[in-house]
Amino acid sequence: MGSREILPKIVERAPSTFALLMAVLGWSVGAGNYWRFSWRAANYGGGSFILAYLVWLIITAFVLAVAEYAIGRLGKGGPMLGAYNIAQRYKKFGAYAGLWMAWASFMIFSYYWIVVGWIFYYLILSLTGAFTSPGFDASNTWKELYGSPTSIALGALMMIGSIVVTSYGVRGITAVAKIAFPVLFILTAIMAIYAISLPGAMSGLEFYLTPKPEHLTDPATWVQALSQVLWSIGIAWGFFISAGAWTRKRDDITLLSLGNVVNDTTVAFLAGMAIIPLIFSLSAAPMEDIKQAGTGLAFVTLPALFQKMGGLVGYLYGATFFIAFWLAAFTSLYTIHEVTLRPLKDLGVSPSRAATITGVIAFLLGLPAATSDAWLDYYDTVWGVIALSLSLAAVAIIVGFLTDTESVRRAIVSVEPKPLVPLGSWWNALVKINAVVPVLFFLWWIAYREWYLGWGSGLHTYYTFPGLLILAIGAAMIYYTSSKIIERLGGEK
Amino acid sequence: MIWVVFFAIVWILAIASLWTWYVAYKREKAIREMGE
Repeated sequence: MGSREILPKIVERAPSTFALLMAVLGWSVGAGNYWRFSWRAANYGGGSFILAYLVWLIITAFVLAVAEYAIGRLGKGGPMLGAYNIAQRYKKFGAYAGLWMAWASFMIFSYYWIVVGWIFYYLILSLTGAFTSPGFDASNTWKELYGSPTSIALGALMMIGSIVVTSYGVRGITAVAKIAFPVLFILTAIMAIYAISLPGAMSGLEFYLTPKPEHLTDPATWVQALSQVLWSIGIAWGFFISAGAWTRKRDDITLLSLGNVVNDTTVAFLAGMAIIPLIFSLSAAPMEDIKQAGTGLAFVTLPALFQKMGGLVGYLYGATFFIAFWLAAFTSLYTIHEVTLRPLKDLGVSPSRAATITGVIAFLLGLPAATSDAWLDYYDTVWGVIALSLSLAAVAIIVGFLTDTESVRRAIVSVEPKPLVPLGSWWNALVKINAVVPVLFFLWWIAYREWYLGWGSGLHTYYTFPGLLILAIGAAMIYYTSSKIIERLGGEK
Repeated sequence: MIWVVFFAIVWILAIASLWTWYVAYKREKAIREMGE
């Protein structure tokens, strides 16, 4: 695409279509499929939430996943160079937006290792039979772990694992994912089937899946569904750009995109089915427990239920849950690591060196979040919500407005054998729409919550405003860095 | 009983997921047969 392309110094190709599909599914399916989806679905209208989720999945997630893969494939590079090469009408913006995505991913990566370490600790507990041993206290166990040297040591171990996998580049990532993803998928399906056979599980299923019509007209349902879709599928973090650059000329990016949305949604739905009926069947206060999300759900509520199940069944269910949960989290850790090191690799830094540099810096940067709830919350809001929605618009702007969208579409559909999804011109229109609609919806929502309903009721005002300043400083820094790099490589001034 | 419809959707999606794995496998086979 275009005349003055800047090609990456290191080029990697996927070993096979199946391996590539598993690698990108390892990226999409993460901790959120287990500890966020079920909570959101249960608290935002059950079937109504699922309907809203499916709508965003089709009009935003699938469309932009294709766009992101296309940036990597046709731009022949990771987030920064791929976007630079494809954004013919404003190449510097492409480089800037691409580096911004890698930067936002880096900031999220810098605390995700802590979370994966926690999950690994619970995996060890489950395998050693701690949940079903007498005297196990779920609340105390979590309180003692949080911020402890053990949690940091296990987080460090996860980081070392991630450095090892990403040091081997696409070969390392696909080799792990080819085993990890099918295993976690099958284990989650087994748990869902078992959970619905429990006595009292039907009332849980009914609660989980029955649409509550009043939620369908509540914007909160749609905002929660949109943010879950973006976070869960992993749109606009730059990973699909990186994976797009791994594709060979006969790889089909519509298959990868459809695979992402279908498999990720399935694991989230099945995880909900493994969790919610279990709560209704065993909990003394299901309506209270169902309000738990994140750490409260995975590290306190569920282990207490595994304890209540007791015996071999409690042991097996607990171990199965944490094996699947950890595999989902770990496959997302090394893939987000790959996004953050990709700009370095594109500039010629060896994969092992790039993995070590970014891994060590992310570890040090994340230490405050390892010991403080407030920091974790702040990181989540600023980088996970605000920075990601800006990246989302950037992907749509690059493919929808800064290049010839129709020739991108033609390049995608002209692949042989024929692509799985016949992208029509509807795709061009939806890409353009996605440059404005989701971001406007988010902005309207923040304004409505913050200014109309009152300060502090929305996006953690306390953290948001210093956070916005840090975002602005980050944005200026990334702009300067991307411009300098592109100039040095002989690109547009 | 409308939740049964959603219950069915979950399992249809599960089958569709496995189908995407199969399509990926078949495509690779076709690519190899094309000699690339």
